Amino acid sequence: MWAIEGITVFLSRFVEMLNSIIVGNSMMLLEGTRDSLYMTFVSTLVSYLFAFPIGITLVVTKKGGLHPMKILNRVFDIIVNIGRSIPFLILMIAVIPLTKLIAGKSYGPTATIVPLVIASTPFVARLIESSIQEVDHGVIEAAQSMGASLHEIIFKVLIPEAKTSLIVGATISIGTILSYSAMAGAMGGGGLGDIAIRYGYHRYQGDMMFVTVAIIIILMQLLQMIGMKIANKTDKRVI
Amino acid sequence: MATTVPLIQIKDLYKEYIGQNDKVVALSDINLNINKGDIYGIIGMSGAGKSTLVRCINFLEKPTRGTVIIGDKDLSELNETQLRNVRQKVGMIFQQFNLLMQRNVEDNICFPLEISGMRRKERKKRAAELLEIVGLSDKRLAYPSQLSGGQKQRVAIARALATNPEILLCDEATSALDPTMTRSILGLLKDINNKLGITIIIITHEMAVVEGICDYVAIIDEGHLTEDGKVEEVFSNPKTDAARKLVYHSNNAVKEMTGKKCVRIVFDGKSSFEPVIANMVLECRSQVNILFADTKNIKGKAFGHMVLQLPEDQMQADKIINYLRGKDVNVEELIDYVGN
Repeated sequence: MWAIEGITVFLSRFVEMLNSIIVGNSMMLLEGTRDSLYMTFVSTLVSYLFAFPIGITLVVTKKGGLHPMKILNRVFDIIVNIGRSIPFLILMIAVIPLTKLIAGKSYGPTATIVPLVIASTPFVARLIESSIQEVDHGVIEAAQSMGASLHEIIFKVLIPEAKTSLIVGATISIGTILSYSAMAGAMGGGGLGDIAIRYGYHRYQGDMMFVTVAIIIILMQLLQMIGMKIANKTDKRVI
Repeated sequence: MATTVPLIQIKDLYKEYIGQNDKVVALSDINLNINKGDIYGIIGMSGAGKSTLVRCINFLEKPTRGTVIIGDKDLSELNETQLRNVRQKVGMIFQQFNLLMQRNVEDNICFPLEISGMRRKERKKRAAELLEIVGLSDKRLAYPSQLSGGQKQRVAIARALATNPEILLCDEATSALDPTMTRSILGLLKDINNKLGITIIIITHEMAVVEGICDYVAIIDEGHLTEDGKVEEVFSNPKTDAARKLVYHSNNAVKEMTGKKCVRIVFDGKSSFEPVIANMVLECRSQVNILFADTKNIKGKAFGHMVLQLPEDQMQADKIINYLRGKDVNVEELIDYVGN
């Protein structure tokens, strides 16, 4: 009996505590969430802008690909591998001069987009490469037999046929970039990660850290759910 | 008679693949002429090189030496853009159909038309005509995943015909289909050949496909063309081992019968239209040797008698005797007939 009572008391105290934190800091938490989403979405979008051509080049110029170009493929491959090997925090520091050049300052959400894009582009390019690679060779051959050009095969066959896999990849990318953006908090990157570090770590407010992390988890769940829903809805291979 | 220039001329075609430390000769010395309006079968065992050959016809695979001439165009002399234009006039269908899975039936058929630069409205009109031809008008908005194998191949045929090609290449087009579907697809191809005058080249490993619809056949074995000609001629009198292997399935001579058991069967006025002996062989799946026969057909009735040597295996022999008795034929067992 006493155990259940104890748990109930603990839970109600816990909820009360969360409540007071959320109510007391609602403005800051809301702004943090907004900043996190802003960084995540803009970075994802810009990364895709760079990663799409890279990913497709990797597939097309591969040995046995549609337009083999050994040296170019090797160069892209190495650049992507280097980009993926550098730990994010180190990369963030390393590109500070570039960040200042582009965003005018090295801290805050907008500035953080620069290292986020640089860090995620190679990763996204690999995801795109593997999605495009999944397209059945027979379908490509059919398009070639109809006299389709390389350009037509890329835009009318490879990308549309890889659609579902690309959407799943985008879902993974958004999740990864969200967690990178939280990591950027350590460097004054803004958003939820920043709040968690400043309050939870520097000011020893464990409860505050708990709430911010919980919000990040919820965001992650939502993004994942929405992404998979879209992927399944648009896939015509399943009846 | 004036000799017409063949629509497709394959000349001294040679194709090799260079591996890590060896080279594989896929095709060598292939010479073949295919006339306009023919249905031409190319048959061979798997690995004989027939898929490579069909891909050389539209230069999806570039031959190492030799060339293919379609109409007045020597494909080896064309650049990429010109080749793509030629390919728009050569339709192709595949064993695995190769439809775009994320496009519906109509959009699949419109695909080659998009490539050829036709306007959207005209594309839709053409797709409707083609769906009519292949009998799938009600499936216009379905996706490939919702269709059966035979329906998918019909969509693939419609797609291949969209640009009004002169030639249709079929790479094992019926190999993934059951016998009923195969017949219906072959019927459709025959129809298309009749109505539209399209030259059809069929790659297959199935005799039945060639016998079913081809006018001419070429037999390919280990990269070589071993025989070609009219289907009746090649199949009724196969000259090479490779041809015999395909036509008779096995090249082995029939083993000498050693069975001692013989039966005399007497026909006494049963219908002469029922092929009793042939049916018996097919049903019982064993061979018999006709040692003596004297039968006459009198006004549709069979009279006379016949002596059959039965297989040594007792069970097989009994099976045959029982089959014949079941057919109301008079059967009399003869002991030691052989060697008399």
